[in-house]
Amino acid sequence: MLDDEAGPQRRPAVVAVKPARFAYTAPDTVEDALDVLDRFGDEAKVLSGGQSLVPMMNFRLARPEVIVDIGHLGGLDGMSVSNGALTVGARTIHARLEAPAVTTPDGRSEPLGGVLGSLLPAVARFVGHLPIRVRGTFGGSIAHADPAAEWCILARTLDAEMVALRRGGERAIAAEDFFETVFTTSLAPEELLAAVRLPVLGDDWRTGFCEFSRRAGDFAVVAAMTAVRLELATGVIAEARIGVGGVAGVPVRLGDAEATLMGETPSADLHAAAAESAAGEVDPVGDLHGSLGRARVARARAPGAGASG
Amino acid sequence: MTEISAADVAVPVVLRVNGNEYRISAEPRRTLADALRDDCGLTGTHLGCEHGVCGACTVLLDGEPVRSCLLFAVQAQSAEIRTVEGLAAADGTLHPLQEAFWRHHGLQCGFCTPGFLMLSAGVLETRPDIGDEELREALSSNLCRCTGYQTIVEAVQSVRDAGEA
Repeated sequence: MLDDEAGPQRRPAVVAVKPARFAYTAPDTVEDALDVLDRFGDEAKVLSGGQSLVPMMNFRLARPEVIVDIGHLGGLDGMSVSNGALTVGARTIHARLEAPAVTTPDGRSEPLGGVLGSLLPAVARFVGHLPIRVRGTFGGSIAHADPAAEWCILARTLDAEMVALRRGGERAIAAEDFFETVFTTSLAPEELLAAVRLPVLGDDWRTGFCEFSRRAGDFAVVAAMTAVRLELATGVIAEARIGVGGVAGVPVRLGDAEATLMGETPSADLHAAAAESAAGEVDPVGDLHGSLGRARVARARAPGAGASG
Repeated sequence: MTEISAADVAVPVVLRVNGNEYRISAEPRRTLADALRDDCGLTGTHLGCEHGVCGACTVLLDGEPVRSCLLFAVQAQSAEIRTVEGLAAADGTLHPLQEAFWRHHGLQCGFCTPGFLMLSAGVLETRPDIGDEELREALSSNLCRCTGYQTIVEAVQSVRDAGEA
């Protein structure tokens, strides 16, 4: 508060700040960023769009010693397709997935078509609000590993691969091995998430995404994604993936519900059976929104039901 | 070797706000919102929740609306920043959005208004033909505890319809 004697115009002598102190560096190249991470290990934290990290720092739930701002690094954003995979650069902002465009081998930009071209915008619109989507990044969300985050659910459902760089090396981590628990991944402190590879889904795939949250833009209380591959000749489900977020420390796949669908023809009864199976597979803990998860999973849209193409 | 600034030392930071250059000195942990208010003296940008939920601190960064409480001043150095102080003309003529908020009663206490004005300016400048549904979705980014939002929506719709932003 202002000192009465100083009058209302005087600024306080001690300036309020939110986050704890940190050292700051903004490397120009990926190599420099990897050097810094190698040097500081778990004292360092990568800052990308900052839409999850900075709130945690403002609350002092996160108190990194060194912030490595990768906002000025080139080469980590944008999307491209090769070898049956869509590579999404870690620095790609959410807003770009609302109208995804890929860079072709000859350097042109063209809209991403196909099933992913429809799925990514349908999911992107659930990510935060517009000001969050123009700053926050795809890779930042995945590395932050909120179990209810849309991109984490998508990565787990589609069996994405995370591309991690370290000084002098690179490895691909399967989604199943990447998410360890709430806000915790298998990325080593000296590693930088550079990109995420999503399998390109053929035209015989059908997908759906459904989210329940208390208010538009909130993190999901629970969200579910389905992807099924249909034998087009017979209409039978040949492959099924169901991922759910908000029900455990990591986004989870529902193997029993997936098995319920396999080899069957989509129908309202089948969807109900799969949803029943799904509800039996999750045991969400209550949070400040109450114990809604279980009931919501049972009611989440079952695979194929009105799914986008 | 990559330069690393020490944690407890203020570093020189140059911000370009509303076309003016501000040379300030700030610790790395200083948010853009605090820098704008306390170092640049631009107190039109308000701070509500300081964790990215309420949107009162919304400013334009290279034309897009962003939460200035979720950015550090050091991150914003290469950007063009616009705040509510930059909306009205130099002679005091209100920006069409400011006129419309007034005309449509898009504010009551006024605390959220700078954030809503900058959010609306960013949305209409980058998406001038935005549809009603999308506009409502965009405006749901910020919180207002007085108006019930409908008058804010109507104000922004009127500027969109007149093509004035």
